[in-house]
Amino acid sequence: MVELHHAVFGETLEFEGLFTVKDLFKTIDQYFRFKRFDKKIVFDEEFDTEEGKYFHLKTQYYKKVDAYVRLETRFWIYVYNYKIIEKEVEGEKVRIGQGKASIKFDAFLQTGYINTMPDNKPFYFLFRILYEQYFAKPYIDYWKNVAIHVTNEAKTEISSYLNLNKFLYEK
Amino acid sequence: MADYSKYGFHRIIKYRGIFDFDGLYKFITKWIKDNDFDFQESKLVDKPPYQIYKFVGRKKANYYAMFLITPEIWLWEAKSVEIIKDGKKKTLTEARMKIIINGGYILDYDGDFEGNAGLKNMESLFVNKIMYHEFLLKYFDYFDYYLFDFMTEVKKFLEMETATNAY
Repeated sequence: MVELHHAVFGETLEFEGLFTVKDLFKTIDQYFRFKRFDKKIVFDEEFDTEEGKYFHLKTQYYKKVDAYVRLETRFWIYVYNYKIIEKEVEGEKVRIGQGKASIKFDAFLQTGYINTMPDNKPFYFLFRILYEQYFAKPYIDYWKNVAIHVTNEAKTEISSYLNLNKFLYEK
Repeated sequence: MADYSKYGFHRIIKYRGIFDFDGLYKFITKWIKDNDFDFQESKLVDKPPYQIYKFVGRKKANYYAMFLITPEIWLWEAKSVEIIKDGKKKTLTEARMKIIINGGYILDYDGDFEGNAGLKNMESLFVNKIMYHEFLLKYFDYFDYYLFDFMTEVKKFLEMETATNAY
C-alpha cells in the first residue's frame, strides 16, 4: 500500500489585482517542467458569471525519483470575478485580466508506490514500518525537504509573477 | 487480457457559457479519427434537461497493446442562442457542460496468453515484474500525455483561458 508523508499541508496564496490567468498557469507549468516533474490536470472548470469569469483548476505535478519514492505537489487554483480590461501602460493600451486569485497547495511523498511490499502479509507490514521509521528515515526526510524546497520555490515564482514581494526588500 | 482502463487517466473539464456544440462534436470526432483511432459512438442519451454523448476510440499500438480513449460529453439545460460574431449570424449553444476524458490500455487484446494457467502466469510475471517499468513508460506515460494533449486541444477549441501549458 502507498504510504503518504506530508511535507507541506494546506498553504494558501491570495491575490487580488491585475494578472493574466494564462500567464499564471504558464509560470507554474514552466517551473515544474524545468524541474522535470510530470503533470496531470485532474479537474478544470470555467464558468461565466455576472461578475466575470470563474476558474477552478486542480493539478498534480509528480516526479518518480526512484522506484520507491514519488514526490507530488497538488495545486487548487481558484480565480473569481475575472475580467479582461484595457490599461494604459507608458502611453500604450494593454489588455490585461483583473480578478481575485486563491491558490492552495500541498506537497507530499508517496513511498512504495509500485506496491513492492504489499501490506496483506503481517511480516511485510511490520518490516515496512521498521524500515521507514528507522532505516530509511534519513532518506525519506531528505526527499521531504526536497518537496518543501520545490514548493517554496514554486511559491516564490508565483509571488514574483504576481509582484507580491514588492515591499519585501525595501527599507 | 489485462485491462488498465481504470488506471489514473481520468480528467474532467467543466464549462458554462456559450459555445459551438456542433463544432465541438465534430472536433472531438475528427481528433479521434485523425489520430488513427477506430471511432465509435457508444451511447447517446437525450433526456431533457440533460444530454449525454459517449465516444470510444480504439487503436492498436502493436501486436500486444491497444489504447482506448473514451470521452464523454454531458450537457445540462442546453438551449440554442443566436449571436452576431464578426458581422455574421451564428447559432450557438448555451449550456452547462462536463467533458470527462477517460482512457486506458489493454494488454494482450487478442488473448494469446489466455490458453491455460501456465501462460497466464508467464504473462503476469512478464508484465508485472520483468517489463513493469518499461510498460509504464511505454504505455502509461505515453498515453497519459496523449490524453493531456487531447484535453488541451479541447480547451483551445472552447477558448478557455487555461488552454496553455509548458509541456
